Amino acid sequence: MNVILALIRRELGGYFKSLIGYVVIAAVLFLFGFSFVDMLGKLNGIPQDAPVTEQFYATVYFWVILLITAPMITMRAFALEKSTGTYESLMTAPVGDWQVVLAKFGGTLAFFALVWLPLLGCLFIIRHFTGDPATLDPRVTAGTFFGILLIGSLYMAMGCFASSLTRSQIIAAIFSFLLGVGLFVLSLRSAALSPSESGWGAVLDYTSVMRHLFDFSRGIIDTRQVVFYLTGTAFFLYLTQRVVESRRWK
Amino acid sequence: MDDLPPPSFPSGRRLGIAVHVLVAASLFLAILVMLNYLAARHPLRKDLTSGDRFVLSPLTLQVLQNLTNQVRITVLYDSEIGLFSHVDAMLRIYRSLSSKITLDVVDYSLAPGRAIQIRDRYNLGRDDKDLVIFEAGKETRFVRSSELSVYDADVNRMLQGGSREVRRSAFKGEALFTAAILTVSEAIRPRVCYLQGHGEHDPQSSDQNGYRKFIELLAERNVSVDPLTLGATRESLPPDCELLVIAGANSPLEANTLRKIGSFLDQGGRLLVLMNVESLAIATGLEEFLIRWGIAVRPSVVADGQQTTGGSDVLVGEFGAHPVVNSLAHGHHKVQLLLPRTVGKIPEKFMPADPPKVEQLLFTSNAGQTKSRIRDGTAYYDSRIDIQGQMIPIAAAAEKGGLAGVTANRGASRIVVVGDSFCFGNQLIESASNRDFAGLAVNWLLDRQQFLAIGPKPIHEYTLRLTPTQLTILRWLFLMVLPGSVLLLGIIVWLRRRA
Amino acid sequence: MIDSPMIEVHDLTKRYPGRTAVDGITFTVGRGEVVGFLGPNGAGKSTTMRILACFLPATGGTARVAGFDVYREPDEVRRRIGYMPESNPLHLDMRVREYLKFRARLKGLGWQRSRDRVDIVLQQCGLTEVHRRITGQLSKGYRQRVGLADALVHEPDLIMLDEPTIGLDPHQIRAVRALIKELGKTTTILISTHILPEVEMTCSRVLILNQGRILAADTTENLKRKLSLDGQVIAEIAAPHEALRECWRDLPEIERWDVAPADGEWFRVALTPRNGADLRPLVFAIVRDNEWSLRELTRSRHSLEDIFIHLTRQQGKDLPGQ
Repeated sequence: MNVILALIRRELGGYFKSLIGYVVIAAVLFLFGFSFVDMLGKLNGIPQDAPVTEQFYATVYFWVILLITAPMITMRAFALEKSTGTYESLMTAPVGDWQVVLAKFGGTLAFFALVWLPLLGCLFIIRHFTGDPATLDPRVTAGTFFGILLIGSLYMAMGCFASSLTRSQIIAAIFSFLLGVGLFVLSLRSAALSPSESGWGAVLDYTSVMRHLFDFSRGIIDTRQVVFYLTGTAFFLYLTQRVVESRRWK
Repeated sequence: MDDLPPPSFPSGRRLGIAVHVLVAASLFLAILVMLNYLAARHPLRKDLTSGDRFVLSPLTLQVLQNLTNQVRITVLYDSEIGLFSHVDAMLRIYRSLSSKITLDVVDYSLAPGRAIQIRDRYNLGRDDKDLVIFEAGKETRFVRSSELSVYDADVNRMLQGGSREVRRSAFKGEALFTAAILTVSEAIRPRVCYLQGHGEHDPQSSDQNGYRKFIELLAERNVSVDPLTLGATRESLPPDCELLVIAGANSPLEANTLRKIGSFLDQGGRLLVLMNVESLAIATGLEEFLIRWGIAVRPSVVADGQQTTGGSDVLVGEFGAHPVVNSLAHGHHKVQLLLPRTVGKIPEKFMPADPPKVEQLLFTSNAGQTKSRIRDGTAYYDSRIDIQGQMIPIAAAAEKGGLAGVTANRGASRIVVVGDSFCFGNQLIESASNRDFAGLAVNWLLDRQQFLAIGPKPIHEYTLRLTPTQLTILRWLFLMVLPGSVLLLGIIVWLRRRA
Repeated sequence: MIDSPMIEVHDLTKRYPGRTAVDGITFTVGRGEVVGFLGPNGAGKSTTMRILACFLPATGGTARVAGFDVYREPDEVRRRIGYMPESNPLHLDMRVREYLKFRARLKGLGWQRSRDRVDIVLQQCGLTEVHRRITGQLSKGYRQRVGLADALVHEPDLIMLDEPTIGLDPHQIRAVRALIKELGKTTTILISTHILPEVEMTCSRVLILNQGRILAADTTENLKRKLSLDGQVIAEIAAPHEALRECWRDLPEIERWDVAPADGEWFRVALTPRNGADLRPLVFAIVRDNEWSLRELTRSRHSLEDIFIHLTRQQGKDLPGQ
């Protein structure tokens, strides 16, 4: 556990000691700010009754931000260490493969959460301008951020997996972007397709990440979605561990 | 070196490990898929909202558990509309609770092709939209967006001198959806009787004053409509009749008939009376009959100096506070009436004992005028008895809790009286929001007691109020200041730390 | 396990597609030894070290460190080694102390102990003045010392340094070598290098690798002696040719001699000692006794370089030490 914590600290430190961390935060702030201001302009003066979190988070902007930033956050994870050679000194230290994988994942997820945290402030701005404290349901907000964290963990796990396959950050970013877009497109497809009785429609509907975010932003926690994200994350972390381990027998 | 340890790297090791890893990975995947399958089979939804927006009533749960037929729900909505989120969220809970329900959500702005298919399939108009279709077997039932909300006037703002603003306060989708599912799945068709024999509009006719479209509107609600003549032979109305429609009677109703209608109402019956200008000069008997229900139908025609298109019609834009018209008021909709009669509430002092709850529904603008002197079939303003320059009521609704014991089956008696019957004729029903008004009135009249138990879900409505300056400040803050300062910080760190 | 040698390698082979990097090497390193891995670039030094550090798998054979198998018990092995990879990769964005503490924590040291150890290795490696600096801004020599400090920080039984002085200026090289020499007093060290004087200066024993095979393995002294290349004395003497050729015959210290005419009456004499003894006093005594003239007397210090070139040239012929 100490080892994992030390590694996570190092990962997080890495983001803030290099330009990339600030670029990602600035990009998220800008994109989310753009979406926020856009929505404010659209909704200004018009009575709304959907939860604030749904109006401002379950938007296409969120997915644009996630799809762009997830690869930026995760591409470093393994690829950077491999290309600078520190991977060798890391893996010749007495650390387990699982410890390394969990630490990399934990570091990226922690950074992802940090990136989203300042945006809680937006909700308070909304509350201020509606002049109505009941606008913000803290439990719904918590549910939304829980959902964003779950979605983020799946995307971070996919990104770590992509990063573990290569020593080039660019290739890792492209691969994790493709994985992320693939999942997103599936959910677009399920929105266009009716979740009819046919099996595929049901499966697509089950995996529809857009749909999930809608539920989270309305304050609904559904065990199916939680299980989906947890198992998805576990699957990609398992694959990552296998890839890391393969160095020792390939 | 006889006791050589076994080789660290025996030959054939790689293939073995590769196979092992592949097998293990597929096993792991299989376990995860199984977990997901289990989760999908045993869903658990937790609603974090403080209003329990997504917790369904026991009645709904019971209906869903006892479903035996497949019910197909089609949502034809624009997902940009605020109400959609409520409809969609609620129906998804329905589907998660019953395997008999299939849900099909079609956004007509995103998938116009599918929208056309659906309109064809259910014989909808080309521009019909924002509705939920319930289908089981051959039965269908539509629930339209205008029916779904409960509105409240924002009293506080009115007191502060603000405009009269009606806020959406609750979402009553659950009651409507559950009722719809029950009616289509069990083929329970509430019966509506259409009174004939007194010069009423022809229910079959497609003429401009025919009531064919109105009958279709009733059928859309999955009710069966039967013509009814209350001759001397019939003892009373059919026992399963829920709503009696009297549309534009212009000859007197027999006392016998009125007595039967009276006892029907006393047993919790529902009545829709549409008066019109043609019966102005004669007493149909309904005028007197309705006084007992607190509603006064006066022998005068209403005109509106401002809200009219041709002089003889009244464009109603002022509404009372009543479930039938709240959504019209909220949407600033209009209802067009032709030479309507004054229909209002009788003064409190003339109210009978055990008075019903009466609300006036439609009003003229402040430029209203009554005309009660009739010469050559035309009504004229008579300064001695007529009034002008004020809001004049044109429609009213009355409700009275049924007599104990007698009305257990039907619940409260309800009456809606409108001063005009042409407004629901084939021609005028398409103008302004007349169709919505008709639908809302019929809905309120057909409300079944058991589903009244399903309370509407409160909606918290809020409005963002930003001045352009504030918006500009926020825009600068979010698009320039915040990202810029983070980037600047990053560049400083990078410059200081670079090798 | 205490009595087992530090490194046991038997018939270790590493094949890449189309290339054999390590070709069935066998060697042992005892506890407390400082052993040099010598060979040209691409000889298989780094590959062997990576296998020993459990970073790469081999294709065949056995490798054990401190009695633990590198494939079956990599955790035990890694706990006992301090390995500095080739080119010494560091996290260049960290400060020196921060990096060393991170590495110490990674190697399982507790909070207090890692603090203490980092202080010790900072001092040991002469990094105390720069402990607040960012490693990326340090000179190469300091970075190399940081790598060394990292290898030492958890007090490993075995330190493996892959090309520790590469790319350093002579002054830095001297400092690093001194440090290794100092460490060698207490710890087992395996150094790989292609720079010969390094091995000569720091190691007690040398393994010469070329093209994935071990060409020689012995102490440096033995190697030199076995090849009889050490201690050859060159003298330029003016004397009668016959007397000059005959005078060495009865001397037991001399194994071979060779007399070649130089300019005029001068002859150039090359003498090879039998036991590495210094022949110069003897030569001087003979010249003096015979009243000859002497204008040059040098003892050629044949180095490992000669041995190495000698060996790699005639690879496959009779090899000493095997």
